[in-house]
Amino acid sequence: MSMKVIKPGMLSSFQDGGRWGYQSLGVSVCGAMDLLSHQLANVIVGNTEDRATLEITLMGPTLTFTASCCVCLAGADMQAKLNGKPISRYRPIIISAGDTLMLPQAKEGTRAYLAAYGGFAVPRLLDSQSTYLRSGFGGWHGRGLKAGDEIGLNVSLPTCANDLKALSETLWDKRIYLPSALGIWASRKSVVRWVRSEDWADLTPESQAAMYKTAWRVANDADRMGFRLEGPKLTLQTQKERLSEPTTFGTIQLPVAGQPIVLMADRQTTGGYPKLGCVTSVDLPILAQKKPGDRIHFMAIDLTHASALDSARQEALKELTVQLTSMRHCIADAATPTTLQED
Amino acid sequence: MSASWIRTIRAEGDRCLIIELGDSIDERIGLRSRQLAHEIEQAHWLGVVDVIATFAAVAVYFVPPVDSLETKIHELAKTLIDDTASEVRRVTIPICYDAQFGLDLDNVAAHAGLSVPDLIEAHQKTACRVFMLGFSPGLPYLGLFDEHFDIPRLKNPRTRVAGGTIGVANRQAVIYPATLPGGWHLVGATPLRLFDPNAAEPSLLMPGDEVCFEAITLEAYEDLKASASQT
Repeated sequence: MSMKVIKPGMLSSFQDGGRWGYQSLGVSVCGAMDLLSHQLANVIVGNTEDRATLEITLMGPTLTFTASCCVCLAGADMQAKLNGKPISRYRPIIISAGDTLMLPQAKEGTRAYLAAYGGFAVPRLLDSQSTYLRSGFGGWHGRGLKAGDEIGLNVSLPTCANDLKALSETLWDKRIYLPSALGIWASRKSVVRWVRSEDWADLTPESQAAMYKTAWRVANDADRMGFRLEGPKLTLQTQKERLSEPTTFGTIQLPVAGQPIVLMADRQTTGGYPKLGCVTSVDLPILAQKKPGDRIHFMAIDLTHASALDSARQEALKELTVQLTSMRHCIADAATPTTLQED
Repeated sequence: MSASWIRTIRAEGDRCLIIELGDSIDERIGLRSRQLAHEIEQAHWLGVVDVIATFAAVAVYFVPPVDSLETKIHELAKTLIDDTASEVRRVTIPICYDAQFGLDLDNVAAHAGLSVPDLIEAHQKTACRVFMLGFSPGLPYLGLFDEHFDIPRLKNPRTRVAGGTIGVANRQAVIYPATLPGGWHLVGATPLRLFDPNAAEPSLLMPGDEVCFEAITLEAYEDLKASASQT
């Protein structure tokens, strides 16, 4: 009852909503870079809890399944093929034992998320299934997938081909309406909204103008820890050192070199660089879908607006979960847990 | 009722509030930051997912919906008084000052105007506090040491510092829990394991712990190291 890795792809690691509650021990939050796609994959596949999805980066893996199951892909368009036939994103997909899922290469976006109904059998460590790549723990043995890995599935579907076909057809007939507040086309966007913070006022007027005008280039070393942005050098009127203080997902730091860095999922818990602001939660997925060489523009909005957008999206996710109740029941009725000691 | 501990609360984006209590590394402010963080954690407010204290600030991380967090924080802070009664956990860290670990002992001693043996003695004299853990899992920021340890960080940080190594700078010390890049002056090493994600208590040290260093011989270091790796 498992998913086997034939080809690992560039970097495929299990991530969930993040390892919250351990930052006071210096433990990075990690979790999905594009939290929205991660959540959507889970909700559409029928998971009402936060379960680890496989975060697939640029060049995806080739996977085979030894049991029937239900999966969903969200985020980047990896040109996914099941037994050679293209499959849709944002739909529950029925997989039969023996099937091969190929995720060759991102045609649009950078990160795709693969969720399985009932979740993958990935241990929970410090309350999270996320892989902490830099410290080598959590997720699947603290690392990205390798060829030969075999990851268990918590739930499998019936083996009878006719039953599976019927389930697949029932699911296909169900309509999934994704409201615009969910902003699922993040990979097509390049304007990133952000909220300014106090050190912004210390930028020279030229640098403030540059922040807006520039089509910032995502640097080649952009990774899960942070995205360095290349463009004109930004300068502060007074170069001050901050006492090391907390940071968050989306914090825009300005190191001495004058090239802003946006802190991402694997960021360190604290930092001492001046902070220009923070990318809004709703637009972090846009950034997470960028790859080195892509360009972005910044647009400042006020905090009230950012919070309202965030709340609206959380609400839309809840509504989607309700909307998909009958679809979830169809999958649940067909499913059998493979293990009793589910996390 | 004393004046509020809080200088200001500012938003770090739309899912984090940073509460400023001061702008310097100060033991009382550090203590207050940890106390406030602890109280906020204990309040279990809706939507709050993590709370951390740094040298002079507390961060509250949340996911909407939340209910007037800022007001609640101000109200909570008003009720707090400096905690002088709580029991402090005391931890002794064995440290081997052998030259193979203390690569910068000579420089730190010269900067302090002390002989190396006197510097080693001064380093053990201070009962310091864990201000916070950060940079890497289980890495403690310890302070404050006396002025002999008021030395700026290295201009050119090392790309690799071995796990267990102890570094000093700016009247503080850190212990590298794993092999990491580092800009602190290296004075010794401990055989203890600082962080184990699989342990019931993953971190050897916790914010607020009182820490003393105690010199051990290279032989004792190797013995302890061998027994630590067996468990």
